[in-house]
Amino acid sequence: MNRKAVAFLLLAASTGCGVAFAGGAAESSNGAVTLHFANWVSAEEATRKNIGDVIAAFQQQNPGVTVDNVAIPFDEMHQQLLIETAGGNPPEVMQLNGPWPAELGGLGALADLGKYADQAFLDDNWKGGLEAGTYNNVLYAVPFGLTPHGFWWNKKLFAQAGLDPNSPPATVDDLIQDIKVLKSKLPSDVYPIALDTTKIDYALTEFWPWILTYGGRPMYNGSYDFTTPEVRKAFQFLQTAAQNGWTPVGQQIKDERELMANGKVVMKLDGPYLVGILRSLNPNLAGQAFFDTFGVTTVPLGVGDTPVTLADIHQLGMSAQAKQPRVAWKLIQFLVSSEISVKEYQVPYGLIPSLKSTVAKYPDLYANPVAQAYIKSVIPSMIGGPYDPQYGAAGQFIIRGMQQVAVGGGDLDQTLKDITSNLQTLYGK
Amino acid sequence: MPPRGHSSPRSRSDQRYAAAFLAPTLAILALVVFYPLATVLASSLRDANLLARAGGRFVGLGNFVRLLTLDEVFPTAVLNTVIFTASSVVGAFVVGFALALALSGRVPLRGFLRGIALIPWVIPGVIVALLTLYMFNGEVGIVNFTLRSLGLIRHFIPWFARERAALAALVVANVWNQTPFYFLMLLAGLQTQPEELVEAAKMDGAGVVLRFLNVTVPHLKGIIMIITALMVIWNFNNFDLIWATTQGGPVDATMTLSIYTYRQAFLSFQFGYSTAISVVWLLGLLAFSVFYIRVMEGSRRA
Amino acid sequence: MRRFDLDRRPAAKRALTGIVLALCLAFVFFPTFWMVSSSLKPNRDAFAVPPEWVPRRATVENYRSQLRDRGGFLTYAKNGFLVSIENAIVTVLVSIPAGYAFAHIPFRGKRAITVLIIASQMFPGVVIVISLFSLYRVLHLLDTYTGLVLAFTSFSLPFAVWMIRGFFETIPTEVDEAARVDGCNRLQILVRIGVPLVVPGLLAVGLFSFLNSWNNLIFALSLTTEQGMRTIPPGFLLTYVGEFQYKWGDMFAGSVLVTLPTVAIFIALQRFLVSGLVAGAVKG
Repeated sequence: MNRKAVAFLLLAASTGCGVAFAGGAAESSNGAVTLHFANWVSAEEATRKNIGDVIAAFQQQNPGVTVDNVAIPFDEMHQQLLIETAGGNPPEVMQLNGPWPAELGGLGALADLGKYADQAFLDDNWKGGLEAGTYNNVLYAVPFGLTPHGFWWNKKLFAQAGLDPNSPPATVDDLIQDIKVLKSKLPSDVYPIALDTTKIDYALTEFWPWILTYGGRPMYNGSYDFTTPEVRKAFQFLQTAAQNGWTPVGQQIKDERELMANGKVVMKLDGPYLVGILRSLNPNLAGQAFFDTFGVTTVPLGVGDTPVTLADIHQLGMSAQAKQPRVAWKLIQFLVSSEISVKEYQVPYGLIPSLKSTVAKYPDLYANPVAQAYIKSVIPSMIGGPYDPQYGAAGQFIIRGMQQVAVGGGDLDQTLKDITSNLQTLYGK
Repeated sequence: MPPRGHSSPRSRSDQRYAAAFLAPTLAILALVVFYPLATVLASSLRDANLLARAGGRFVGLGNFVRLLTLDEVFPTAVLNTVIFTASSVVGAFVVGFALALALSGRVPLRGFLRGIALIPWVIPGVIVALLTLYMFNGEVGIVNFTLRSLGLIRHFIPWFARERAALAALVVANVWNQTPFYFLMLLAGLQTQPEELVEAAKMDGAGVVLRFLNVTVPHLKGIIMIITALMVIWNFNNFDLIWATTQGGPVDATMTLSIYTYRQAFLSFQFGYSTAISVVWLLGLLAFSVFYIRVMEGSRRA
Repeated sequence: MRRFDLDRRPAAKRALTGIVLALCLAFVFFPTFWMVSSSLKPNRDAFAVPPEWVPRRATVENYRSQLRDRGGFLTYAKNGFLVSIENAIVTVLVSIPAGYAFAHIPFRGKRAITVLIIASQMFPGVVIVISLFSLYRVLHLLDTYTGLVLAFTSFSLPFAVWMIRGFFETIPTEVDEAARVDGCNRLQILVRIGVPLVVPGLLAVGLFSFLNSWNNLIFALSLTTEQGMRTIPPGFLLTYVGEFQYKWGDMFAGSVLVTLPTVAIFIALQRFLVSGLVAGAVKG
């Protein structure tokens, strides 16, 4: 054979044989520690610098520790954490959202933070915040910032429709009355309320509070029955809203925010960060103008007299494979409670702090009406979600049902029966 | 066709050269496709979880049996994939061909227009998906406004909240995205169309349509078949566009095999099951391409 | 047929061509126009009702902010160009001998290997990527250009081999025979005679490979973790698709910025490309 051809072959073979002489990841021996912190915060130019400052401050306080900032787009974060975990190379510290702690924790990917968190730290947290990171009585994640959905309404549009701008609906019945007034009095391209039925994660997050407020607790405590009267009421509300043009169907939650900023949506459920979002979309909402236009309160009562919402929050977890869990825990604590993290990240990103002591320490940062409404009423009303490792599978059945009743012309009772039987099969009941 | 007499020194040397020449290609594919593929294929026989792919109970053909007999979504996904692929390929073919015909003649600003026609292909796919979302927005999307001002619709269509409209919108966006590929290849083909053939057909009194069918189409047959095969394979794999817009909804209206596979692996964590779907898909496409290659080689010989 | 004989009605023929051209161009041009128009609007006007065909508050601020973003946009664009060009080069170099072998060398198992190569495109990338990630970790290929280029090659290569095979098939086998009589071996024939004859085709295949890497999301996203290693699709998602909102203006400005140079190169190379593509595909 020609010599060049042989060289070709050898080159090719050496590429293929690489598999054989592979070793494990290098561990440095001089005591230096490198942590990878995966998050979606540093994606945007504005917050990228801020989280960089937070990390720099941590490194300064902890000589010998290097933190690698791993930026991942929010929409790809869940998938990427799974790929890295499945591939045996997960980041030591990860920012987590909503159902992920229970999913990843239940699959064995997260460390039990109960081993590191002391009682004082736990007591400083809200109960609902810790619930959101707990699965099977193991604390897989601690809150990074609190972002449950509250009930937002546009005061100016309320006034325009002849409603009292300062009295948001207290109950769901009031809400429906208000919706009817708004629908009849406002221009036809203004929708009284926004209910997302599009993308799985976002739409479910926005819909759970309605199920909860009507008294439905499906998937909690081992029951997967969606045919109960309480759950039915929530789906009935969705169906009525979609059929009567109360809500703009097919709009994703991000679109709903654009519509809200432009005065095309009057009410919706959303997190405290809505202030910053709406201001960026509509410069006329700067400063006090925002608070004159929008108010936020608890989700209207569907049953009883205790408001409720879902603890859809940002959390921090630690990989079960982390080699230096104590150092990783230090970083988590620093991110949760340090002054620089509060001021450079949590406040600009629009999060309410997860620790009660933070609010007490920096009262000026939380004096505005939205933060006050959150701290006084919305946050105490939040409860953890019915999360477990099957939640992602279950969510697909629920969203399918929501789409069926909202836009698919499906029969309500049949849809709820289908969801129930699918979930019962899934959970082996 | 390979020579049957293996003993001749020339055929032996050919065999070696062929091996050496193919080695780099096969080595790269072995590393980045076949090795990873082999490690996941085994999962299709297991009740494997995403985070423990090698684990799980051995279920034999259980995943396949469940998929083909019990799964209600799978037939929908197959049907949607076929509809999505077929309409995308046909649509891109028609528009691309028309554009190529129009821009192969003497047209003012030809070079510039050809450049413009390529843009949809150069825009990163993720942006195409988001642009689709933006343009087909039911409340503020430019598509609805344009259709209404042209008098084609009276009320806005909530594209992504209507089952047929959602799939249609995605096909239109996909056709737009892939038209340049057909356009470019067919434009190239038209350049080499022998003038004598066209002239001869003209002499025979063949009109534009006949000339097109009898001269142009046969001339381009080779290109058309190759591009079509690639487009079919690529569109089966189309994920970014659908995931970024509808995630398979509303009510499974845009659930394709790639979306369903992804959901099974990354949302339901049923890795074994998702691999089984991929295997069925692989076998389907393989059958298609073996058949296709036969047809192609047959027509080439003819 | 007679009734539609357009040769006898030149005006009708021109009108028909005109209409077809106009419709197709409108279809192709419309979203592009809308993207450019939207890239000139401040974020607040992205959801304006009715939509503004020509931006009322036109601004180039979206463009300016992309070009200032060193750690973001500029890094992603640089990585995208580098990795895509490297991939194009590797793909072309590797597919030349393979394409030649398929076209000119008789060998056993040709059909099987052809099918094997095409089959490599028939499995969903997202299922493979998990296993690829583990492999890359072991090989220390995560966060490297080499790793990205290899992964991108996995889908540009089969296509390239197929195309290049077509180009080589346009060279008659008599040429090989003549060269062999002169004492050239296969490699010499390939390098001295084959390659010079298919240069336009190589250019075409290179451009296809370039665009394939340029557009890839799943490998680019999963096989890199450092922000400094991100290419355009994952980088754009990072920058323009936040947890809470889309940054439409910035997103479209960024897309126009990365699209322009590529289209300019296309227009410049058009002549070679057109003659190159055809040879490959006609013979298949």
